[in-house]
Amino acid sequence: MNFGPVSGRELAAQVSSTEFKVHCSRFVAQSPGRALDAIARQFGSRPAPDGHNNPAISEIRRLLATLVKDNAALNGLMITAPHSHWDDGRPIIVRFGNGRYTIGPTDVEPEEAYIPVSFALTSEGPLAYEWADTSIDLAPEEVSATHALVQQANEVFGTKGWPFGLALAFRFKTLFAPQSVSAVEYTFEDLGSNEEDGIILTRAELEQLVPDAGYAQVGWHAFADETEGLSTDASEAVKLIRALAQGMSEQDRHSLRDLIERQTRA
Amino acid sequence: MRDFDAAPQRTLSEVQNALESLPREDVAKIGAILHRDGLLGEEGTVMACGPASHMF
Repeated sequence: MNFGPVSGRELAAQVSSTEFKVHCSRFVAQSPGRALDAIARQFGSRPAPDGHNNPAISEIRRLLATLVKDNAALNGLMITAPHSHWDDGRPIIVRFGNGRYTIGPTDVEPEEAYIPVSFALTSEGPLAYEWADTSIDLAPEEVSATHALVQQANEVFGTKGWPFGLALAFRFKTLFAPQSVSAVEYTFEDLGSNEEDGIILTRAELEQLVPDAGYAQVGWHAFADETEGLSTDASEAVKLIRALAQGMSEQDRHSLRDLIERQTRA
Repeated sequence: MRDFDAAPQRTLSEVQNALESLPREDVAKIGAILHRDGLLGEEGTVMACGPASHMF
Protein backbone atom coordinates (compact mmCIF):
# COMPACT_ATOMS: atom_id res chain seq x y z
CA MET A 1 0.00 0.00 0.00
CA ASN A 2 0.99 3.62 -0.37
CA PHE A 3 1.85 4.96 3.07
CA GLY A 4 2.09 8.57 2.04
CA PRO A 5 -0.60 11.15 2.65
CA VAL A 6 -3.60 10.50 0.45
CA SER A 7 -5.95 13.15 -0.90
CA GLY A 8 -9.55 13.18 0.26
CA ARG A 9 -10.62 12.47 -3.29
CA GLU A 10 -8.46 9.35 -3.49
CA LEU A 11 -9.44 8.28 0.00
CA ALA A 12 -13.18 8.54 -0.65
CA ALA A 13 -12.75 6.41 -3.78
CA GLN A 14 -10.60 3.90 -1.94
CA VAL A 15 -12.99 3.25 0.95
CA SER A 16 -16.02 2.97 -1.32
CA SER A 17 -14.36 0.27 -3.42
CA THR A 18 -15.53 -3.32 -3.17
CA GLU A 19 -11.95 -4.45 -2.54
CA PHE A 20 -11.62 -2.24 0.54
CA LYS A 21 -14.97 -3.37 1.92
CA VAL A 22 -14.05 -7.03 1.44
CA HIS A 23 -10.70 -6.53 3.16
CA CYS A 24 -12.29 -4.67 6.06
CA SER A 25 -14.86 -7.41 6.55
CA ARG A 26 -11.99 -9.92 6.80
CA PHE A 27 -9.48 -8.00 8.89
CA VAL A 28 -11.29 -5.27 10.85
CA ALA A 29 -13.82 -6.43 13.46
CA GLN A 30 -17.16 -4.68 13.81
CA SER A 31 -16.66 -3.89 17.49
CA PRO A 32 -13.94 -3.98 20.13
CA GLY A 33 -15.60 -7.02 21.71
CA ARG A 34 -15.52 -8.97 18.47
CA ALA A 35 -11.89 -8.00 17.90
CA LEU A 36 -10.96 -9.26 21.36
CA ASP A 37 -13.02 -12.42 20.90
CA ALA A 38 -11.11 -13.16 17.70
CA ILE A 39 -7.87 -12.96 19.68
CA ALA A 40 -9.30 -15.17 22.43
CA ARG A 41 -10.42 -17.77 19.89
CA GLN A 42 -6.95 -17.96 18.37
CA PHE A 43 -4.85 -17.74 21.51
CA GLY A 44 -7.11 -19.08 24.24
CA SER A 45 -7.61 -15.83 26.14
CA ARG A 46 -7.78 -12.09 25.73
CA PRO A 47 -4.47 -10.28 26.24
CA ALA A 48 -3.67 -9.13 29.78
CA PRO A 49 -3.27 -5.35 30.26
CA ASP A 50 0.51 -5.67 29.82
CA GLY A 51 0.10 -8.03 26.84
CA HIS A 52 2.80 -10.42 27.98
CA ASN A 53 0.48 -13.44 28.06
CA ASN A 54 -0.09 -13.25 24.31
CA PRO A 55 2.56 -14.89 22.11
CA ALA A 56 1.71 -12.76 19.07
CA ILE A 57 2.14 -9.50 20.99
CA SER A 58 5.43 -10.81 22.35
CA GLU A 59 6.66 -11.77 18.88
CA ILE A 60 5.66 -8.44 17.38
CA ARG A 61 7.45 -6.63 20.21
CA ARG A 62 10.61 -8.70 19.76
CA LEU A 63 10.69 -8.04 16.03
CA LEU A 64 10.15 -4.30 16.52
CA ALA A 65 13.01 -4.27 19.04
CA THR A 66 15.34 -5.63 16.35
CA LEU A 67 14.14 -3.14 13.74
CA VAL A 68 14.40 0.20 15.54
CA LYS A 69 17.55 2.29 15.56
CA ASP A 70 16.09 4.60 18.19
CA ASN A 71 13.84 3.09 20.86
CA ALA A 72 11.82 6.33 20.91
CA ALA A 73 10.19 5.15 17.68
CA LEU A 74 8.44 2.44 19.70
CA ASN A 75 6.58 5.20 21.53
CA GLY A 76 4.94 5.91 18.19
CA LEU A 77 3.23 2.54 17.87
CA MET A 78 0.62 0.51 19.69
CA ILE A 79 -0.18 -3.13 18.96
CA THR A 80 -3.93 -3.22 18.45
CA ALA A 81 -7.04 -5.36 18.08
CA PRO A 82 -8.28 -3.89 14.78
CA HIS A 83 -11.93 -2.86 14.94
CA SER A 84 -14.29 -0.09 13.97
CA HIS A 85 -17.47 1.38 15.42
CA TRP A 86 -18.80 2.57 12.09
CA ASP A 87 -19.67 1.15 8.70
CA ASP A 88 -21.33 3.84 6.62
CA GLY A 89 -18.94 3.81 3.66
CA ARG A 90 -17.06 7.00 4.59
CA PRO A 91 -13.44 7.12 5.76
CA ILE A 92 -12.85 7.04 9.52
CA ILE A 93 -10.94 10.22 10.34
CA VAL A 94 -9.25 11.33 13.57
CA ARG A 95 -9.28 15.11 14.12
CA PHE A 96 -8.20 17.60 16.75
CA GLY A 97 -10.12 20.78 17.44
CA ASN A 98 -11.25 22.91 20.37
CA GLY A 99 -8.84 21.01 22.59
CA ARG A 100 -10.45 17.68 21.83
CA TYR A 101 -9.67 14.65 19.68
CA THR A 102 -12.66 13.25 17.77
CA ILE A 103 -12.99 10.23 15.49
CA GLY A 104 -15.69 9.05 13.13
CA PRO A 105 -16.89 8.68 9.54
CA THR A 106 -16.24 11.90 7.67
CA ASP A 107 -17.09 13.64 4.41
CA VAL A 108 -13.47 14.23 3.48
CA GLU A 109 -12.22 17.35 1.73
CA PRO A 110 -11.14 16.36 -1.81
CA GLU A 111 -7.92 18.36 -1.75
CA GLU A 112 -6.94 17.84 1.88
CA ALA A 113 -4.24 15.30 2.77
CA TYR A 114 -4.96 12.39 5.09
CA ILE A 115 -2.37 10.16 6.78
CA PRO A 116 -3.09 6.48 7.51
CA VAL A 117 -2.80 5.86 11.25
CA SER A 118 -4.38 2.44 11.96
CA PHE A 119 -3.54 -0.79 10.18
CA ALA A 120 -4.51 -4.44 10.27
CA LEU A 121 -1.69 -6.90 9.54
CA THR A 122 -2.76 -8.92 6.50
CA SER A 123 -1.35 -11.27 3.89
CA GLU A 124 -2.04 -8.60 1.30
CA GLY A 125 -0.08 -5.86 3.01
CA PRO A 126 -0.92 -3.54 5.89
CA LEU A 127 -4.59 -2.56 5.61
CA ALA A 128 -5.14 1.09 6.58
CA TYR A 129 -8.60 1.67 8.04
CA GLU A 130 -8.29 4.98 9.95
CA TRP A 131 -6.67 8.24 8.89
CA ALA A 132 -5.64 11.52 10.54
CA ASP A 133 -6.40 14.87 8.94
CA THR A 134 -4.09 17.87 9.02
CA SER A 135 -5.42 19.02 12.40
CA ILE A 136 -3.31 16.27 13.96
CA ASP A 137 0.26 17.47 14.44
CA LEU A 138 2.40 14.64 13.07
CA ALA A 139 6.10 15.11 12.28
CA PRO A 140 6.67 13.71 8.76
CA GLU A 141 9.95 12.01 9.68
CA GLU A 142 8.33 10.30 12.68
CA VAL A 143 5.39 9.20 10.54
CA SER A 144 7.79 7.77 7.93
CA ALA A 145 9.73 5.85 10.58
CA THR A 146 6.61 4.34 12.16
CA HIS A 147 5.09 3.51 8.77
CA ALA A 148 8.31 1.70 7.87
CA LEU A 149 8.00 -0.37 11.05
CA VAL A 150 4.39 -1.23 10.17
CA GLN A 151 5.49 -2.35 6.70
CA GLN A 152 8.37 -4.44 8.07
CA ALA A 153 6.20 -6.04 10.76
CA ASN A 154 3.60 -6.90 8.15
CA GLU A 155 6.23 -8.54 5.95
CA VAL A 156 7.00 -10.94 8.79
CA PHE A 157 3.58 -11.41 10.39
CA GLY A 158 1.05 -10.56 7.70
CA THR A 159 0.72 -14.18 6.61
CA LYS A 160 0.19 -15.49 10.15
CA GLY A 161 -3.51 -14.71 10.21
CA TRP A 162 -3.20 -13.01 13.58
CA PRO A 163 -6.10 -10.69 14.44
CA PHE A 164 -3.71 -7.90 15.39
CA GLY A 165 -2.72 -4.59 13.92
CA LEU A 166 -0.52 -1.58 14.58
CA ALA A 167 -1.62 1.99 15.14
CA LEU A 168 0.28 5.26 15.33
CA ALA A 169 0.22 6.45 18.94
CA PHE A 170 -0.23 10.22 18.76
CA ARG A 171 -3.10 10.86 21.15
CA PHE A 172 -2.28 13.43 23.86
CA LYS A 173 1.36 13.49 22.76
CA THR A 174 3.72 13.74 19.82
CA LEU A 175 4.40 10.48 18.05
CA PHE A 176 7.78 9.61 19.57
CA ALA A 177 7.09 11.02 23.04
CA PRO A 178 6.44 8.44 25.78
CA GLN A 179 2.78 7.72 26.44
CA SER A 180 1.90 9.44 29.69
CA VAL A 181 -1.84 8.77 29.80
CA SER A 182 -4.17 6.10 28.46
CA ALA A 183 -6.43 7.08 25.57
CA VAL A 184 -10.03 5.85 25.63
CA GLU A 185 -12.16 6.08 22.50
CA TYR A 186 -15.71 6.88 23.51
CA THR A 187 -18.46 6.93 20.91
CA PHE A 188 -21.35 9.34 21.32
CA GLU A 189 -23.68 6.39 20.90
CA ASP A 190 -22.51 5.52 24.40
CA LEU A 191 -23.99 8.76 25.60
CA GLY A 192 -27.37 7.97 24.07
CA SER A 193 -27.19 10.72 21.46
CA ASN A 194 -27.53 10.30 17.73
CA GLU A 195 -24.12 11.76 16.97
CA GLU A 196 -21.88 9.65 14.80
CA ASP A 197 -18.53 10.82 16.06
CA GLY A 198 -16.58 9.55 19.00
CA ILE A 199 -14.38 11.50 21.36
CA ILE A 200 -11.01 10.36 22.61
CA LEU A 201 -10.59 10.88 26.33
CA THR A 202 -7.98 10.23 28.91
CA ARG A 203 -8.98 7.54 31.36
CA ALA A 204 -9.31 10.20 34.06
CA GLU A 205 -11.69 12.22 31.84
CA LEU A 206 -13.78 9.13 31.14
CA GLU A 207 -14.09 8.33 34.82
CA GLN A 208 -15.16 11.91 35.49
CA LEU A 209 -17.70 11.84 32.65
CA VAL A 210 -19.11 8.40 33.45
CA PRO A 211 -18.05 7.19 36.89
CA ASP A 212 -17.42 3.44 36.93
CA ALA A 213 -17.64 3.23 33.14
CA GLY A 214 -16.05 0.04 31.97
CA TYR A 215 -13.73 0.00 29.02
CA ALA A 216 -12.12 -2.62 26.87
CA GLN A 217 -8.40 -2.49 26.26
CA VAL A 218 -7.69 -2.69 22.53
CA GLY A 219 -4.08 -1.48 22.37
CA TRP A 220 -0.86 -2.63 23.98
CA HIS A 221 2.56 -0.99 24.13
CA ALA A 222 5.17 -1.98 21.55
CA PHE A 223 8.20 -2.46 23.81
CA ALA A 224 9.91 -5.81 24.35
CA ASP A 225 11.98 -6.10 27.52
CA GLU A 226 14.99 -6.52 25.24
CA THR A 227 14.81 -2.85 24.24
CA GLU A 228 16.09 -1.88 27.70
CA GLY A 229 19.36 -3.76 27.24
CA LEU A 230 19.03 -5.70 30.49
CA SER A 231 21.61 -8.15 31.79
CA THR A 232 20.55 -11.80 32.00
CA ASP A 233 20.09 -11.49 35.76
CA ALA A 234 17.96 -8.37 35.35
CA SER A 235 15.85 -10.07 32.67
CA GLU A 236 15.19 -12.94 35.04
CA ALA A 237 14.33 -10.47 37.81
CA VAL A 238 11.78 -8.74 35.55
CA LYS A 239 10.07 -12.04 34.81
CA LEU A 240 9.94 -12.94 38.50
CA ILE A 241 8.68 -9.53 39.63
CA ARG A 242 6.11 -9.39 36.83
CA ALA A 243 4.75 -12.78 37.89
CA LEU A 244 4.63 -11.73 41.54
CA ALA A 245 2.98 -8.39 40.71
CA GLN A 246 0.12 -10.02 38.81
CA GLY A 247 -1.49 -11.09 42.06
CA MET A 248 -0.87 -7.85 43.95
CA SER A 249 -3.49 -5.34 45.04
CA GLU A 250 -3.25 -1.75 43.81
CA GLN A 251 -1.90 -0.74 47.20
CA ASP A 252 0.79 -3.40 47.14
CA ARG A 253 1.81 -2.32 43.66
CA HIS A 254 2.37 1.15 45.07
CA SER A 255 4.57 -0.47 47.72
CA LEU A 256 6.39 -2.31 44.94
CA ARG A 257 6.98 1.01 43.18
CA ASP A 258 8.32 2.54 46.40
CA LEU A 259 10.60 -0.44 46.91
CA ILE A 260 12.04 -0.15 43.41
CA GLU A 261 12.57 3.59 43.87
CA ARG A 262 14.45 2.93 47.11
CA GLN A 263 16.57 0.25 45.44
CA THR A 264 17.34 2.64 42.60
CA ARG A 265 18.70 5.17 45.10
CA ALA A 266 20.49 2.57 47.28
CA MET B 1 7.38 1.10 56.78
CA ARG B 2 3.80 -0.04 56.21
CA ASP B 3 2.37 -2.89 58.19
CA PHE B 4 1.93 -5.41 55.41
CA ASP B 5 -0.12 -8.52 55.58
CA ALA B 6 2.06 -11.60 55.69
CA ALA B 7 1.61 -12.70 52.07
CA PRO B 8 2.32 -9.35 50.40
CA GLN B 9 5.24 -8.83 52.77
CA ARG B 10 6.70 -12.14 51.65
CA THR B 11 6.10 -11.18 48.03
CA LEU B 12 7.83 -7.84 48.46
CA SER B 13 10.70 -9.57 50.24
CA GLU B 14 11.08 -11.81 47.21
CA VAL B 15 11.18 -8.73 45.00
CA GLN B 16 13.76 -7.10 47.26
CA ASN B 17 15.91 -10.24 47.13
CA ALA B 18 15.69 -10.28 43.34
CA LEU B 19 16.74 -6.64 43.11
CA GLU B 20 19.45 -6.23 45.69
CA SER B 21 22.20 -7.98 43.73
CA LEU B 22 21.54 -5.87 40.63
CA PRO B 23 23.24 -2.60 39.71
CA ARG B 24 21.14 0.53 40.24
CA GLU B 25 20.86 1.21 36.53
CA ASP B 26 19.33 -2.22 35.98
CA VAL B 27 16.86 -1.62 38.81
CA ALA B 28 15.89 1.68 37.20
CA LYS B 29 15.33 -0.07 33.86
CA ILE B 30 13.21 -2.70 35.59
CA GLY B 31 11.16 0.09 37.16
CA ALA B 32 10.60 1.64 33.73
CA ILE B 33 9.49 -1.71 32.28
CA LEU B 34 7.05 -2.44 35.09
CA HIS B 35 5.68 1.10 34.96
CA ARG B 36 5.00 0.73 31.23
CA ASP B 37 3.23 -2.55 31.98
CA GLY B 38 0.99 -0.79 34.53
CA LEU B 39 2.25 -2.97 37.38
CA LEU B 40 3.34 -0.20 39.74
CA GLY B 41 -0.10 1.02 40.80
CA GLU B 42 -0.22 3.67 38.12
CA GLU B 43 -1.55 3.82 34.63
CA GLY B 44 0.38 1.72 32.14
CA THR B 45 0.46 2.40 28.44
CA VAL B 46 -2.86 1.30 26.99
CA MET B 47 -5.35 2.23 24.32
CA ALA B 48 -8.97 1.44 25.09
CA CYS B 49 -12.59 1.85 24.07
CA GLY B 50 -15.39 2.51 26.49
CA PRO B 51 -17.68 1.97 28.11
CA ALA B 52 -17.78 -1.81 28.24
CA SER B 53 -21.58 -1.87 27.76
CA HIS B 54 -21.11 -0.76 24.17
CA MET B 55 -18.38 -3.21 23.36
CA PHE B 56 -20.21 -6.34 22.28
